[in-house]
Amino acid sequence: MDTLMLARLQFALTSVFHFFFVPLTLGLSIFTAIMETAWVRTGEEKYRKLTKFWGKLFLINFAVGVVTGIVMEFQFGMNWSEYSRFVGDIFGVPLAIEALLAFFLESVFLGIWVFGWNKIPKGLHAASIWLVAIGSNLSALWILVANSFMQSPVGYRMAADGSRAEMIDFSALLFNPYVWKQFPHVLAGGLVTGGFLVIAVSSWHLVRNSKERSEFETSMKFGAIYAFIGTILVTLAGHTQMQDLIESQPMKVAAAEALWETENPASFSLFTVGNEKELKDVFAIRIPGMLSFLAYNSFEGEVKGIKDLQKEYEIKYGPGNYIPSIITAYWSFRFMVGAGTLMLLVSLIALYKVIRENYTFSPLLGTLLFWSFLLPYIANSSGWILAEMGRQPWIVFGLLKTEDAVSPASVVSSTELLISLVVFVLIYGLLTLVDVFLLKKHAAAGLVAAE
Amino acid sequence: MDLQTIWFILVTVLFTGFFFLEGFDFGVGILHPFMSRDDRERRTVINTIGPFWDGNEVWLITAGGAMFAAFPEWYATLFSGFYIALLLMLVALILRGVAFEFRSKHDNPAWRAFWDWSIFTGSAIPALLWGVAFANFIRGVPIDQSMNYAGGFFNLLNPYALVCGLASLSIFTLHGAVFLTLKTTGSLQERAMSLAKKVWPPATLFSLAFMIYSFIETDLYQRLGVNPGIIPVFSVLSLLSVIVLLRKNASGWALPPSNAGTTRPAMHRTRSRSWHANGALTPAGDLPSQPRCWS
Repeated sequence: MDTLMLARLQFALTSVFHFFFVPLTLGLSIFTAIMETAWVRTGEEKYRKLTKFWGKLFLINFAVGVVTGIVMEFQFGMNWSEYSRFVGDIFGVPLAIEALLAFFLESVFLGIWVFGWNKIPKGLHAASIWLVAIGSNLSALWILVANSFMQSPVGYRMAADGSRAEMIDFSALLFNPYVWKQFPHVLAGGLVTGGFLVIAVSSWHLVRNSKERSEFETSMKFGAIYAFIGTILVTLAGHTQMQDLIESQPMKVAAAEALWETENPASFSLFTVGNEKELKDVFAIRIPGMLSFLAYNSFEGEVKGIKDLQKEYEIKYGPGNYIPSIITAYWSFRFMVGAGTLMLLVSLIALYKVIRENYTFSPLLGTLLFWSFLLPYIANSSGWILAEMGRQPWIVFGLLKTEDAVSPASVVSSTELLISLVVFVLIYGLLTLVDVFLLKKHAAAGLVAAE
Repeated sequence: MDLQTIWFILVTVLFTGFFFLEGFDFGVGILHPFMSRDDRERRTVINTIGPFWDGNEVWLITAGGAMFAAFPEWYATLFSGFYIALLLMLVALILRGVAFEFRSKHDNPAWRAFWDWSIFTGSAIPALLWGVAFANFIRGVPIDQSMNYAGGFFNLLNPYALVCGLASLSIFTLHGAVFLTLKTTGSLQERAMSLAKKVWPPATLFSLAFMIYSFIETDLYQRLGVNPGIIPVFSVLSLLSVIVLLRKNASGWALPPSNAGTTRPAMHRTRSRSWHANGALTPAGDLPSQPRCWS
């Protein structure tokens, strides 16, 4: 395999893996903070126990998020040196700020929180987990500022020799509309991931009728509300992001919909088997006008098709193939939306049970509530696969192609890339096994063991 | 002062902070198997750095980000060029980082032994490699016209770099030992003290060797304009004072000098790099655009 393919594979593996852990960190940090606030406010013992319990699961997950994050920062320079030279002036800045403003906050107060039990006043202790949560969620903002430049470049000018992009307007970078569509989506994705894990673990204990029934009922109640709010927010945020994409990256939308021709009103694909070579349907069920509705909140409005966009881009950027892998974009979009729909359904069921204060679950419902913790993971991963794969062939949209961004083979050989890929597969495999083992063990052990 | 220099100083401050802080937790990681007789003691030793290691590591992440932002060419050339070394570093940092969290979460001797081993190697490898990497900065590495590194992995393991690696490894270990004398009590403290005394001679020896070797191998001191310069003199005095203070059982006073010892290589590098910054970096951006070999 050539270095480009290996480097892309490695990026896909390491970033998707990193993002298994990040959303749970985002969501569970806030949830733990809510539990501790409830303890400080009410003084009820059950909230203290729940804080310790969810805090422990948060910590196990957090550690893996941190170490896989270092890999991401190093990887840009190691595997994508040409990219780094091209965008460093812009991309590096939010990365540095992320560390400076978010990671320091997060790590310092996490240290205080973990080692400060019974040593500092309750209120301060609760404040420190809130600062951890704020730090984590702020870090997401800064990394998305960086990513948004790749999706929709703003605030830059090209260097005189065209070799790199230079920053001219930092506030444009920060207030890039793309950031403020994507950040709420990711944030809400974190809430959902945390909420569904809470539902899963709580219902597992409730089905088994554990001794800590009343505590897990409380945690189920909070989890169900949390997950429901998260699901509504993530859906709304996703919807606004889609509307933004029609403007900023119409090709991504067209590929996600297998929309070959420009349509007005545009139809939404329920199921398409397509022929990617000849750019046509083999078999398709489409809902007329639905895509226009999603894009413009009206059953009329033009959505550009793949063929027209390709022609447009050839004129704008010169000859070349500007069509991403349609099968990837199409199915990642469907996995994300499909998982989202199921999440809405499950969170409604959970909310209904909680409102009725009925905490007895049939084995079937228990199984459903438990395994739905996987749904946010599917949605998060496929969402990012769509965001990144749907942007191809560009690494920075309209400015730099992925094939021109990889480290030269004379510096980083395919053997070196293969070695590092194998190393990461092995280590990440080990981390997965250990992490799942520990989460399972401590989730099952319940509240007393978390003391 | 131009923006280049300011950013350069910032990156240097960040790396210095990283060595200063992570230095002692690398040291504790390296020493913990030799410090403790049973699991409870090991936990006590590891807990001395528990609240700090993550925050300390953020200094590295910030330094990396600042480097990426201000000197993309430096970042790109370095990270793609020192590929295998950085891969090793990443593996070490990953295993070490999760080990702190994972080791206490399951009660099984083999489990604990595995993560303890991860903490040891995960601390020792970076402690050595940072010295190797920075010595190569000072000595210079071959770079071609398009700013790409043009040497292999083994080119980095030259005797000069290895001496610096051993110096940083032993200084970090000494730093950790001194830190432990402050953070522990009773027999653990006594053991930390005796380890500090044992590590002191090699740490001082390797540092001296590195400084003398720098004189022969590089034009560092001439470039600095001061010969031998205040920093090496200061760090030798610091290291000498460590043993005196340790003998007097005043380890609280010994920590700052041992700190100075750990940061000395970094400061050293600062000066060499500020030379690169002032003398060789073009105003427009990064490294010089002319083909150039740093050696």
